[in-house]
Amino acid sequence: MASISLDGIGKSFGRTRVLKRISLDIRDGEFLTLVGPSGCGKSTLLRIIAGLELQDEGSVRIGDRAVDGLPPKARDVAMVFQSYALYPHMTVERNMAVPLVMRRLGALQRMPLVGRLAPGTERMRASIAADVRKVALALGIEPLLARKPGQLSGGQRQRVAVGRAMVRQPAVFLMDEPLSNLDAKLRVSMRAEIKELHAKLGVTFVYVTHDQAEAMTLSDRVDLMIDGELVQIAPPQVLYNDPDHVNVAAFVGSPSINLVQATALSEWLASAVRWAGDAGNLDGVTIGFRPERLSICNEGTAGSIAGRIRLVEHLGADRYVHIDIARTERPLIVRTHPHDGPDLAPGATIALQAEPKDMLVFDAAGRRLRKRPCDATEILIARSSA
Amino acid sequence: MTIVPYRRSVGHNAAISAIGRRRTRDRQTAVMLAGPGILLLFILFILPAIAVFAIAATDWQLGAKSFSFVGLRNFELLWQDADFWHSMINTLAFVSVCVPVTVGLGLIVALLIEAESGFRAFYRAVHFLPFMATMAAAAIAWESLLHPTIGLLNQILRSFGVQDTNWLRDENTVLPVLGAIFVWKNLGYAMLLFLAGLKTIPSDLYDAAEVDGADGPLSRLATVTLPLLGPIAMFALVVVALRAFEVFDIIKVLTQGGPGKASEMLLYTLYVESFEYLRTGYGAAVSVVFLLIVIGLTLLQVFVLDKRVHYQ
Ligand SMILES: Nc1ncnc2c1ncn2[C@@H]1O[C@H](COP(=O)(O)OP(=O)(O)OP(=O)(O)O)[C@@H](O)[C@H]1O
Ligand SMILES: [Mg+2]
Repeated sequence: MASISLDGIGKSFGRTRVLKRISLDIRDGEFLTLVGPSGCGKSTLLRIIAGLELQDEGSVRIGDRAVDGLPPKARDVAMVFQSYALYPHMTVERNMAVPLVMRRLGALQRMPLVGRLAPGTERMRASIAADVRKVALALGIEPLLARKPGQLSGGQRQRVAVGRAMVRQPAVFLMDEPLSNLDAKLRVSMRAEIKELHAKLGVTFVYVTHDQAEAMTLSDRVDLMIDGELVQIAPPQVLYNDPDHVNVAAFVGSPSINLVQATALSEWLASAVRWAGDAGNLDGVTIGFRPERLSICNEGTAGSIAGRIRLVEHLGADRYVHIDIARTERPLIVRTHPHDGPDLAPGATIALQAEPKDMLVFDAAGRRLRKRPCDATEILIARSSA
Repeated sequence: MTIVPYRRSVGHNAAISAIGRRRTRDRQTAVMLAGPGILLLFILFILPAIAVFAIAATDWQLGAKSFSFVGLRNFELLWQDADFWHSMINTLAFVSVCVPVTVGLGLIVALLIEAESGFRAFYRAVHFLPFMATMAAAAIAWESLLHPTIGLLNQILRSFGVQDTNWLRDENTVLPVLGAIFVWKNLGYAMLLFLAGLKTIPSDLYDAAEVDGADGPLSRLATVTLPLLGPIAMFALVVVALRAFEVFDIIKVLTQGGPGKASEMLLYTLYVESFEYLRTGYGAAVSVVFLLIVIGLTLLQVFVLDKRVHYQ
């Protein structure tokens, strides 16, 4: 078991700066997820932790030692690759045995034929086989041990890849989008298995994904990266309810957050949050509303903003209502229960309401503006009088 | 009510005949697309092969007006012909040494080039050039290199005090020298195959091997590179073996099978029998043996080795 600590990690490929001084502490036994849009450097960061890539600056500590000079095998980490990277010519059993064979047997003992003659080889091989079998049993892949990867389904390959990572009981598990090649249903069930695995093994997991559902359900903390920078590290709920940056707010949540230029809402803000200032102060300010934090009311309700229904989507338990309001390009999406509120038909004029505390306010650079947590009113009032 | 099933059955029949029409059309398309190829294959390969088998059963001499069928007589003669066996053994020895050496060196050169980053294209071109060169022209260069008195090789050896050797006229050296020229010529081809093969190995596998602890050059080779090059190696072995079996040009240009018959090999024997002694029927019998070897090698690749070395 081990904690991981990254200190000012930087990495460039040629002229492109892929990671920009990333510092991050991962607790022992934590499940940390790296999420972010494609190309933001998640894999690169993971590979630097694994030792497959060397950072240009900064240092990596695993447990209580600096591992910057150590090759991957000496770092006590195991990695599961997006492609699974199983050796196609080996059976599942031999695939899973590789990490143990490389560790426990000497070069001579590993040789075909000759190795058998070296003292102790037989006993070692038997103990390796026993360890492999134990892990295979735990993962339910024991019947597959004699097959080759080409004869397995995607989900089975994924399990074998996890098995190969597990056999040598590493202190840290690194997983790079391990579920992204599976179909949606299997992904959900494997997600649960990975969570169980983490609970059972209790070791540190660093998990890369760009699937926010995986990030939200699996992690103790989520680390959102954009363009090679850490934008926010927080538990999933905090990331959702209390984002530090407009990009975080936009990345997390489905359907995604409604982002509206504050200037488009100035009249409404005046009535809703009793903001009475100069519209110029709202330049560049963006206000975000989570779809479930907006509510639909009858036209003319005090403190509401008028809108027209563009589209209603029924999703069984939920209903997404797309509403056009004046001076915005995209409709706002409101998430309601199917039987809530007035009758909703496309074309109908209704009004929207929101609690001031549910407004997330971001400045022109995208940074969250907050005096006290979630207190949009005060921020807006403060800015208008400034 | 009575009309419905009637109409339904009409529709049903119509569907069946539509499917039938479509099948016929598909078949016609297939014949049209594959036909020319099959025809060419027939004219260029199968007919000549049949002709060779037929001629091998006659005592026909090239240009003769008449011939008679002699059944397996030519093969009997072949079986008893010490010269044929000599040529056969030469060929087998040549193949069994040159093929592994060519493929092995090709692999080593490919690995070295792949490991080097700077002058990759240059090295690749240098090694591939001999394969592109016309053998007849290259043979002349080799002849001058190997010339007993003015050849560069002997001059160099002389400076080390080694006695002159007449490389191409000495029955102890002629086969190894021809072998070396064969390796020189075909190395680049094997190398190119391996370079292409190396490109297809996913880099993830090397990463996985590194994390698993197989990070030394040798254990990387043993865990990932060599096993994944298996199919390519198989292909290279068979193709180079075919080229070794049909080695002809270097013999024709450099030694004419000599000294004595020391460098005679199967295809050269075939040529001499057919076109110098004009014993066409007998030559055809040699061709049949040659064909069987080639077919055997091909089948070996298709049925046995392909199954054992492909993974998916
Ligand atoms: N070996 C390399 N050489 C040059 N550029 C690279 C290399 N590896 C990655 N990059 C670049 O670094 C950036 C980050 O890559 P990385 O693979 O870490 O992204 P990622 O966040 O994992 O994306 P994805 O979600 O698509 O996997 C990309 O712009 C990529 O093009
Ligand atoms: Mg990636």
